[in-house]
Amino acid sequence: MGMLDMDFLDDVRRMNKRQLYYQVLNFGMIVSSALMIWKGLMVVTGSESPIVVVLSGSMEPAFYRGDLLFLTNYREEPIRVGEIVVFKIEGREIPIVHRVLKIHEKENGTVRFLTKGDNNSVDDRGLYAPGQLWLEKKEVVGRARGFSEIPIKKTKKRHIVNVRRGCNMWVNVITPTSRQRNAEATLIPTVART
Amino acid sequence: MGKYGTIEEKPVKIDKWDSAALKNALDDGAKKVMLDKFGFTESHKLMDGRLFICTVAVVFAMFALVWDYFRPFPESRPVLIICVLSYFFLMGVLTVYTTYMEMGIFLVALDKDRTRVDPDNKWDLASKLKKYDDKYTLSMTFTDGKTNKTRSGEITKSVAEFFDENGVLCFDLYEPEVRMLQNRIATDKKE
Repeated sequence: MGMLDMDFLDDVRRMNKRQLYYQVLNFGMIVSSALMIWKGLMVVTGSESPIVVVLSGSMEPAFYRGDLLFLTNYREEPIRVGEIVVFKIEGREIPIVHRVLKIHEKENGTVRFLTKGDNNSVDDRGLYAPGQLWLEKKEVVGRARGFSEIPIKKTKKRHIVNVRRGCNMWVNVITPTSRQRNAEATLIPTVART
Repeated sequence: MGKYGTIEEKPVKIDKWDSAALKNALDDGAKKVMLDKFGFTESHKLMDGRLFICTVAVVFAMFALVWDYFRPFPESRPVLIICVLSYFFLMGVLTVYTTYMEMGIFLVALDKDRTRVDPDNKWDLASKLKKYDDKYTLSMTFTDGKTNKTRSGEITKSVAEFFDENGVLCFDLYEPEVRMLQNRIATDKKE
């Protein structure tokens, strides 16, 4: 009982059951608010993970490690070459952010595509599951629609270890024209229809 | 705890610069006077209403969490929409409830009629203490159980009058103020 004699616990002991329950509820409501905002974002964007962090440097100079990506996953919009998609290989937890290189599209609408990171020298076939040569739509978590960069000068970006995101971060929107410019700069797009 | 028998008897000590703690300490002191010294019983209806709204909101949020865990995203979309909308609607309801129904009331004390025949008289205690201000306003509203007429009064005092340098509430200075206010309202009705 000696420990419980400390003064700062007096406040808690003075509370009756209702007040204690209210404090627990208060905490629950803070957690619930954050949770509901996240779920709400999931519903609005249609993606199971509406905000992702870029983990590797495979998309430089477009995205650097630590950048945030805002995704949407509207099924009606077709995936086009040059778009940046975030996908999860079956059996792996970590999503990958790369650009679409080639698309095979059948008349009935099924699509298969090949991806490659801008900064990688080979396409992603090495990253897919053994025996898998193409990605399917169900593995896509979403398409990048906007991103926000960490506020560090571009020259230093390769060497960042720990970064704190400041308040002065802008959100850049990825539009079709900027996407096209990026695509032309880094690869030659091809589309094959069967 | 030294010479004090229970936590109830130990004098309240708080950080004298924390206005939330000041208000709570004065509110609790007024509660002590009304319930212990006058023998009124506390009615929990108002607080229970707020607890109920909050509990329902948290239940919706937890349900959405569990449902989404067992049935991953695309299938859980309709359930998620319902839960998110209900949650934010309930937050709105809570805000309305706190603003219009509670209105700073921290104690509803019932003066139970001894003969158990007539309905109870009700005392509503509310208080205000602005964030960096030292003026604490305690207001009491008396509702006669039979006639449903209300009478109210309030006192505004500086918190410095009741707390000493260490932040201890001097209950002996505070209690007479509360009693005087209660007396003033109680005796008014006889005129």
